[in-house]
Amino acid sequence: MASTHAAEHGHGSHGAGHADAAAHGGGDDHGGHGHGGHGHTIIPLRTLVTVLVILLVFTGLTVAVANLEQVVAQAFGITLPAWVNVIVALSIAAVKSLIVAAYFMQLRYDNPINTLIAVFSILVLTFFLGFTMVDLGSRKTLYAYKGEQIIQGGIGGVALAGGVEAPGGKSIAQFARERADAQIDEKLKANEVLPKVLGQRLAHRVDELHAAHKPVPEAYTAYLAKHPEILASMTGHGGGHGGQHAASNSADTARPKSGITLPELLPAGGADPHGHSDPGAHGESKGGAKPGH
Amino acid sequence: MTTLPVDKHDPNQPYHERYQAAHHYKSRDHEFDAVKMGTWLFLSTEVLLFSGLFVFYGIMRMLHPEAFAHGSSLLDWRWGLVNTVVLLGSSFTAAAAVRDAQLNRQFWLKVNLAFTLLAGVAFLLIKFVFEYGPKIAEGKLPGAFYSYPNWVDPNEPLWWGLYWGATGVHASHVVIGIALYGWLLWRATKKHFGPKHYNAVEVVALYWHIVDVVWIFLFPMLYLIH
Repeated sequence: MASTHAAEHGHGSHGAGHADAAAHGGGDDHGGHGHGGHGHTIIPLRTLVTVLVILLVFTGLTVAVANLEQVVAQAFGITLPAWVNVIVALSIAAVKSLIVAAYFMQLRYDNPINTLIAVFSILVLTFFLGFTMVDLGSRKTLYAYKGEQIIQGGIGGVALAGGVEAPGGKSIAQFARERADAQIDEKLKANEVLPKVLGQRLAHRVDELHAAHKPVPEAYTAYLAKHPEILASMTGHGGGHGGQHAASNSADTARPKSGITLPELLPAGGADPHGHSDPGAHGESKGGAKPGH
Repeated sequence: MTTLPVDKHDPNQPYHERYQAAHHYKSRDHEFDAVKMGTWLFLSTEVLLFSGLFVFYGIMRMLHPEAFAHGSSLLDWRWGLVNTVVLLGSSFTAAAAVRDAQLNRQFWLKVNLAFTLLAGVAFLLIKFVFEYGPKIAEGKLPGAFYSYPNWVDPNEPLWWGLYWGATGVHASHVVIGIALYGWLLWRATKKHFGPKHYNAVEVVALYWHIVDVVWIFLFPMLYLIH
């Protein structure tokens, strides 16, 4: 008895495809066990496909809006405030997550307790993020920190990966730059071809030397002349102005120049934070060059 | 319950027919509901895990906007977009697999499980070959491993730390998801899943959807917002 029942139920509907879906679509007492209807809701395939298409459309929208920022900046010279892209991108992401949760994860068809759990975790995230941002946004010491341009995070005498011993107190970024410069000098002496990253570093180094009115070694200019692809690969390099710079970064045109630094805390001389007008302040983006750079 | 319980060791029946819930449950449906709720509790801890990374992102972005702006411009959003599409498609196949288990469509169940698994593998391949590989070669690494000289803001190593941390934790979740789908696929070949018993398919699909949701947030945060 039991086995015939199982045979006709278990194997009978095998591979029945759409006829099956029509018979069972959306029904929730499919088990045939006589249980009270706990939702084993079967979502129609069309719903799933529609949800997927909507998600892809939203993805395209996010990308389009993000790129729009650049297009608008370059074509019309309008600098959209940074928060536009942030708000749009994050709200689209939130909507997409809601759709995934409601349909793919079946929260819409499910016991409400699961939705409660999900909402609770989002609430926790909101408190965590929200209060932290409120705190940070209102800290006066934060402004003082940015005004001083203290560059922290030195590598304090610890051995780096690759067995290199790093002198204490220097920032990792600065040390990376000095190592790259040393490698460039080595490779040029040995007449080797520089990898792309070092080639670009060389171009920047030449700019820095120009800006500091220091003599540029013959080997550098000779190498750059021999390998024009280096300069070609660096967009916005134009004219050797002011060292290593965010000018090539189109994001530069689409966000506020000074982060959250108060104007009165910028370095004296009122230089544009990106050091365009100040030939001495190359290399650091806010004009607060670290001494000994 | 008016039907007699099936003999759970009857070799003539597929596993999913003769499966019986643990004895402390009133019924299989009761077990299914409990399992699902337990999964959601676990997923809320996953949200908390990634919220730590998101808050770190918010703090660091507020403290070092230029570093983040330049750092994120060094990422190629097109690979991020491809990965997003891959994961969205895999979410679809994961949900479709649940549906196929409910409808006892064993062949399509295996197809969808396989597709989800392959999509996860594709995600990782794209990530490692086109994103991680070049970055390792150029020295855009976290912490003490950082050696990329062409930074614009000296705090860029922080950006790279965040990038590797966030995408690395996410990628390890994808690896776990791939392993779970491999397990499901193996069980599906042994006909463990059917309309009356598909708990594992449901649970792993929920996990996979959370992994997708996290990437839905990571993509704009890391690649699109400058």
